[in-house]
Amino acid sequence: MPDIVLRSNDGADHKISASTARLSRTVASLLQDLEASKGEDAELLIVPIPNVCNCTLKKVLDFCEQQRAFDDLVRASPAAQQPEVTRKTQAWRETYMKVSTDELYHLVMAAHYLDVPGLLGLCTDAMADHIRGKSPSQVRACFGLKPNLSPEEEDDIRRSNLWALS
Amino acid sequence: MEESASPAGVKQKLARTDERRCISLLDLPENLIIDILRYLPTKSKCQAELVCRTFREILSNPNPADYVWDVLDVNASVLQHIPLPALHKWLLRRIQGVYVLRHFGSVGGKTAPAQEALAKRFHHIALTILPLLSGLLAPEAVVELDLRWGDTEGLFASHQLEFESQYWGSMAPVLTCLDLQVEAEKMTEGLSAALCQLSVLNTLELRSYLDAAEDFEAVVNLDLPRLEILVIADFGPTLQDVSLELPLHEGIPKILEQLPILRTLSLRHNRKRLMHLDRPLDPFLDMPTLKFLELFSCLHGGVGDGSGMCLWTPAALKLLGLADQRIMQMRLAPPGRTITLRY
Repeated sequence: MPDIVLRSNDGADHKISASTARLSRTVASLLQDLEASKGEDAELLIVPIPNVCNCTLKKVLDFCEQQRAFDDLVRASPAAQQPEVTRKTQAWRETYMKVSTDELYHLVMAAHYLDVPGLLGLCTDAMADHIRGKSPSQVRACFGLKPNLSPEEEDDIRRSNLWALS
Repeated sequence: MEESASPAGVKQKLARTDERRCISLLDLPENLIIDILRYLPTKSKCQAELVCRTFREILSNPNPADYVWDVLDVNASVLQHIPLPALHKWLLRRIQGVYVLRHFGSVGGKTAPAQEALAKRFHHIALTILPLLSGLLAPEAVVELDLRWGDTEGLFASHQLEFESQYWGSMAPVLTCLDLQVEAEKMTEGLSAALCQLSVLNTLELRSYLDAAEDFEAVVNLDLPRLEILVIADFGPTLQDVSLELPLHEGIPKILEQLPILRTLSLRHNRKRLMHLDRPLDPFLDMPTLKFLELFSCLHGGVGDGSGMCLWTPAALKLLGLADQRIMQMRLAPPGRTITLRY
């Protein structure tokens, strides 16, 4: 199948290879249906992605491109070089996930909608990192949450989890 | 710059800031929130309960229908600080669905006196908690228990922590998955007898080189006919020049004979050396029920540098006797991951 174009909800087009696009299960499913109905010779296909803005879609596609490149590299590299490839992958991912909470929120929503398992795991793990080791008030401030537990409920939680909260 | 300098620009900027503030974690689909909270270690989960009611509901009252398992990381460092009554109460609210106790007995990285103190405490807690767990489980619940000992394998013998039936008796009807991480050849008779009581156990992880007759006899004597998944860690000879003949062509067939419904066999070699492999793996191919064979860093087939990654070339597969029509799928794993061969 030729390259395809993913169109964000603000009208920006991103041309990518079908193999990269297939890292999104949502898009892969769509492509499968199209191949079944039109065959491999379908003309350049424009797929609207209504739930994702240009900036986030670009970020998601960066991940897909890089993931595909790393997969190819793992297959092509001799065993001796595998640890180096893994180290590079992890370093790239660490840099990639250096985003603000807002960006992370949009990214996790996009990964969920487009169903990109690797990215979704990375995002949920990063979200958990934002919670880990923070006080409840810090977590609320970070994620725009409002305290809605009654003092009695809070006391109950503190009593039950004394060992963890002291 | 122009936008932010003009009153309209400032207004737009403020509007965008307000918009950002409106974004809340709770706007995410619930399954995503559950996934995020699941990543947290136990202590952070307790702290997160205080964030808001939604967090509390998810963390304290998981609904088995949409939250079918949980992992409780109760390692020794946590056990040091939890008063037993608090731990009991905490467990009471969480025992639903499939439950995994992970690294329950791990005491790795401690000094010898600390290990001894922790071992005694673990012994006490294990005696207290395991029966408690069994009494709390919902009828449909199953339990997975990971009792690995980290890098302190000597602890088992040095403290005479006999895994007698008192540990397992009450767990026997529900325990389906056990990661014992004890060397098969070091198992006591009491432990073997206790394991045989686990009537619904279908997954067992042990450690054994299987390079001596008594090693695999210890596994064979376990008598677990309902076992469907067997993981043997530390499989294979420790010396580079020792052949795999004994473990592969005597040990494995004897074990397989005793496990009539085994469908997954996972052999994990932790030594970073190549080994001689001079005959195909016929015993595996002759097992009608065996559907999954995992070879994790255990056979390099002439390729690899011992760093934990195996590359399976056609030549290596031929040597392994697996390059035939029964291979439907072969997945090359990244370093440190399990290689699965299906046939």
